[in-house]
Amino acid sequence: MPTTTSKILFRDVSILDSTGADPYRGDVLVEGDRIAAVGTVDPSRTEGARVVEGRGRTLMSGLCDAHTHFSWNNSADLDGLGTMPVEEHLLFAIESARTYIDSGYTMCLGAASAKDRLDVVCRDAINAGRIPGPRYLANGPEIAVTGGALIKSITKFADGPEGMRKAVRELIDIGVDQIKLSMTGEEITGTQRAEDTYFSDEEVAAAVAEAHRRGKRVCAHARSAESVKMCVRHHVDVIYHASFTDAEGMDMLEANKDWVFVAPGINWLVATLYEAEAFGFPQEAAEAVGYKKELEMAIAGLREMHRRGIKVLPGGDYGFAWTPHGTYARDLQHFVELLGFTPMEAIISATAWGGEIMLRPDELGKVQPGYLADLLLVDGDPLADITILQDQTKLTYIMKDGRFHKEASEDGATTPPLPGNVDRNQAPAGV
Amino acid sequence: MPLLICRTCPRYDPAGSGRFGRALTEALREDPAAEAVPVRSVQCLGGCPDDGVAAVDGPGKARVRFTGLDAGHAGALVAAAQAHAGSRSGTPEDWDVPAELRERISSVTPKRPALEFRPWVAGRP
Repeated sequence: MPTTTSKILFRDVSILDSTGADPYRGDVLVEGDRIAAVGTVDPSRTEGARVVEGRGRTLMSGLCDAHTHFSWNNSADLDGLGTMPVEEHLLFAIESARTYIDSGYTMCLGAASAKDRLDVVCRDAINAGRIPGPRYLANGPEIAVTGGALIKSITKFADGPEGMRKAVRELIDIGVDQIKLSMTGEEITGTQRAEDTYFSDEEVAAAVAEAHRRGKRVCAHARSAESVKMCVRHHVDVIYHASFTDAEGMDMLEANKDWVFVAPGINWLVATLYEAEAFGFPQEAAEAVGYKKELEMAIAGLREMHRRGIKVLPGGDYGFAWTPHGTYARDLQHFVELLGFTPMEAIISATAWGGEIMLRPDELGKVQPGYLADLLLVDGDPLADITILQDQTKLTYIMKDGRFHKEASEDGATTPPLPGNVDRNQAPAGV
Repeated sequence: MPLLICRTCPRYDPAGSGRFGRALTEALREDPAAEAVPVRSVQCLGGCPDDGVAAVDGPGKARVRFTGLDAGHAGALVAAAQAHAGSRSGTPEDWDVPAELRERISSVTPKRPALEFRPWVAGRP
């Protein structure tokens, strides 16, 4: 169980505060669930505090994954997301929530749930302190039009503006925080092309209007050039993928960069193209259906978005056999090595912008007085080597809401890996 | 030039998950040459069906993944990490892959695909 202590002092840490300032040595005082002081802390305020000796380790904000699926179940094929019985599926989603926070992620944006209430139930259980997990904005099943679903068994179908309004109302009724529109195809389906757009303008407009009217946000699976423009035109808040953004779409994104977020899920493209052969999808097959072209175009477009100051956030659609849960921080490496972010920019996108996409920019994502105490103590310097964030053993302390989720022993012992079980890690046929 | 080691292999063996990473990490501790190689204990490298997975990686260099490994490959992995770090692209053609690892390469992930299509630079549709 998390340790509950009302006052905690991180002493002599390298403070990576996500304001863009270079890290600096100092102390950080946590009182209750918030950061009370940063840098030089008045000794009178630290009386009675539990002290964590930083010894120069990096103290930074917890990370945000902007494209999270608790219920994507490490399946080796798309249909596997829909065939797991609901009881096992809920257990899986609970374990995913735990894996996120074990991996240093304290903020996650739900990008669709494989069954109606898996996300909602997990969010509520996390908020009630019944299970460990990140702060979570829950989603429901993704909405698709007839003939436009990526995976029929996990899709909520709706057609026409009235159909969209009804679907959005039904999802809001079960308690979601945001709505997902599955607007384009995905090459791995073999039938739904990534550059095809299935929604009409009227359908997007109706879904967004209904969601916003009820104070909910909208995100979209939008790979095609037209879908990106449609998203901007109708104020879809979070655009996922945006691989084929064209010149007009790029200009539209730039003109609306004060409110729109792009979360490309870049690791899906990388790993599906180069690393999925063991699960029956060799590189030649991935190239044949277009993933090499899509990856190249996506990288070029995302670099341009970054150059223009459009907010691009990490978050990678994790939860397939070759992109399993727990590997989330690889996205940050891709941001640095493929998209041209500096390590500082990648960390700001995963922390400070994470606070923005979670709609709490003044209290999440920075190590600043008054912010919620969602903190990582990292044994190393992620600015010198961003891959350190992929190693859970280097995340020596993980705190959310001023409570420790993880406290590593000072002798450097590591936590054991998540125990395997048949439900969590289903081997594909023949393995 | 981090050496990435899977901490959940064999992922599909509930009783044995984590066994590979622990054994390999222990073997590396006993190898003085390994002190110069940063090790990252990562959740998974996606080569699970042939468990015992590790990879060499580095800024701007291809990630090269090996599968079907055991702790006896510790020395070869250290040599691979060092040779990979000294190479230009990180792709196996650019460095001397230790013989006992050559047949165990299960993926090569380049870092810089060619950027051939940039419509916002080349002109407007």
